[in-house]
Amino acid sequence: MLEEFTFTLLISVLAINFLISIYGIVYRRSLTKKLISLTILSDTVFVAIILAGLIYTYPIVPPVYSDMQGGEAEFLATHASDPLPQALVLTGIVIGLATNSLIAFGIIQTYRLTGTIDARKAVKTLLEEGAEY
Amino acid sequence: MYEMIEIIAGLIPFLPAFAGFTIPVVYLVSRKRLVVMGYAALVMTIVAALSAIVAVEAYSVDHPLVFKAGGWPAPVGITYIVDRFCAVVGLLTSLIVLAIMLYSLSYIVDEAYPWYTILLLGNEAGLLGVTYTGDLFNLFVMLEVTGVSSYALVMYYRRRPISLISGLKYAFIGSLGTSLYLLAMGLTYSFYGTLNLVDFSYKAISSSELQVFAYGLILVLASWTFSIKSGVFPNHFWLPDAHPAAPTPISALLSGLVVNTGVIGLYKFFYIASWSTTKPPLNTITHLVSLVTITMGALSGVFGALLMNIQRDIKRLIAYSTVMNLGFLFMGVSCLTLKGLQATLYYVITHSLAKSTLFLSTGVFIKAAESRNLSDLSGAGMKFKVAGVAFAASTLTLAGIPPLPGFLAKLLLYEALFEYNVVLAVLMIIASAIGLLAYMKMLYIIVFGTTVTQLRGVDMKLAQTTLVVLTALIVLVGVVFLFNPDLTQSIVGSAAMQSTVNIEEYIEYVKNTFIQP
Repeated sequence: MLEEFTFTLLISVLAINFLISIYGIVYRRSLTKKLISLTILSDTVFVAIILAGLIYTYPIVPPVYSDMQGGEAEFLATHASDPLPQALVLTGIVIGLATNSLIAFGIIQTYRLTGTIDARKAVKTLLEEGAEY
Repeated sequence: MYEMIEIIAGLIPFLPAFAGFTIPVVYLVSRKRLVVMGYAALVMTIVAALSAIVAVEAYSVDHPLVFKAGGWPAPVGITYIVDRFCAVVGLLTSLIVLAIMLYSLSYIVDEAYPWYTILLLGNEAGLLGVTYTGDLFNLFVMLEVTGVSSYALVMYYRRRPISLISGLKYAFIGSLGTSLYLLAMGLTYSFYGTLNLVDFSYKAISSSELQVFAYGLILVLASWTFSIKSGVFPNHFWLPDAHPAAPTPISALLSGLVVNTGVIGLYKFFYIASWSTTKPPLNTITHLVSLVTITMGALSGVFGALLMNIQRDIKRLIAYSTVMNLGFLFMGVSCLTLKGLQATLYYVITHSLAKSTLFLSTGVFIKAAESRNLSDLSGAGMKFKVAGVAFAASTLTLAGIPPLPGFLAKLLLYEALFEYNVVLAVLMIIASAIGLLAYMKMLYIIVFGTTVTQLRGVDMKLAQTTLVVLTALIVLVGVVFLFNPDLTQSIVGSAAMQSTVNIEEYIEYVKNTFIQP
């Protein structure tokens, strides 16, 4: 009962987060807020993937190979979370680090050059000054 | 022998990545532009030679080449599956990247060249990885490798706010797309328990009802991502900003090769993963998703062609022509038939060659006139004869004039679409006709227009040699394929045959290399 409730709550929170972050990326004018929305989106996806490998039992043991005798493999299979989704999320975080730091650099550089982090405003002033798009 | 060739196939994507990491050392030792970029060009030549060997081998055996990374047994480890389609696209990619690198040797002369070289090598690694990989999660990683290096290359002129903002727009939309793909991977793993392409397709045949629903969701999310990566109609808005803002060789890379990643991804999902499309339970859902992508492709074709006609900036015009052509490619790959895949493969070859050549030749004019405005460039094609010929050849190819290869590509695509639905075939012809107007206008102004601005002399010997080679390649592809239907059949046809008609043998062969539980 409690498990079901928690699961449903988590899924609905994830869905709301997903929609909010897509809204943020597409419609917010500030580049920094777009970056924040992007990180929210990727974190939402990470939590969703972690959910895929979750196990609802007690006690939960870490998925580490040890001595495989005396039915320990069976115990591990029923009491350990699946480590593969965690590996996927780890890869996703590392890649996200690269992308996010690149975007953050771009935002800082844009601010230095144009004095604003509102992309549309910056483009408008630049076009008025006669820059080529 | 086969083991050796499979190791080579797995090595190809990692050679450029390795070379990219050693560029700083080479730079610190030599501090010379020609040494650093020459080293990169040397590595790219080796990669091109290796991918040619792999392509020849893929055609001499009738099963795909399977490489298991690190010796881990499939489907646990990462596998690289090189079938004929992927082998041809990989060879094409490595050749064009090599041409772009040689062009850059005389184009990129500022002091940031080590970064440029590193990013270009990284991009090649990503592109080849996307092409050769047989693992869905590895496809995600390679998409990100391609993506991050592309975003950084668009922002290469970091003192120009416009290119920074265009790069940021591209980066936001691209990262949104890859996050969606990662979500699709989470769904794949939680519903099917595997991330290997062939294992996934094997498990997908015996899907339960819930799994069929999840399968549809996976396909929708993945094709959403690929439409963003390819810049197809509702998700095309970043492309006309990002492609012109980059340095011209990078525009050629982005418009010719990086957009192909979406088509290759769709090929992997529609043809290999959904190989049982003629049978229930997956046929309905796959055809539904492919109907959506084919409609997106048709809209993209018409929309891109219309917007091409109102552009005054030459690079923006070519960028909109990319939107149009990628629409056609999406239509071809969504047919789910033998003819559709055949047309897609030939169209990919034609479009990549012609679009890169077009951008590279335009780069010469832009450097001479120091403007991207179409009216300022008027008459430049007559002054620079070599670039002018390359420009004319690639424009006519994209417009679809025989005997250049664009004609056969459009013909094959028309046949495939006619078989699928007449309305789509007519839409494709209309879009091509509207596009033809814009191409002819551009060609007329550049080649036959009167010179209005003072054109500087440009000394880019290596760039012009590259253009000669690429033009010769375009003409060769056109003439050889148009007048030799047997050759077309044995190269393009057999590649399409392997992934559609003989797909069961394909899946069976790869399945047999897995460990048996």
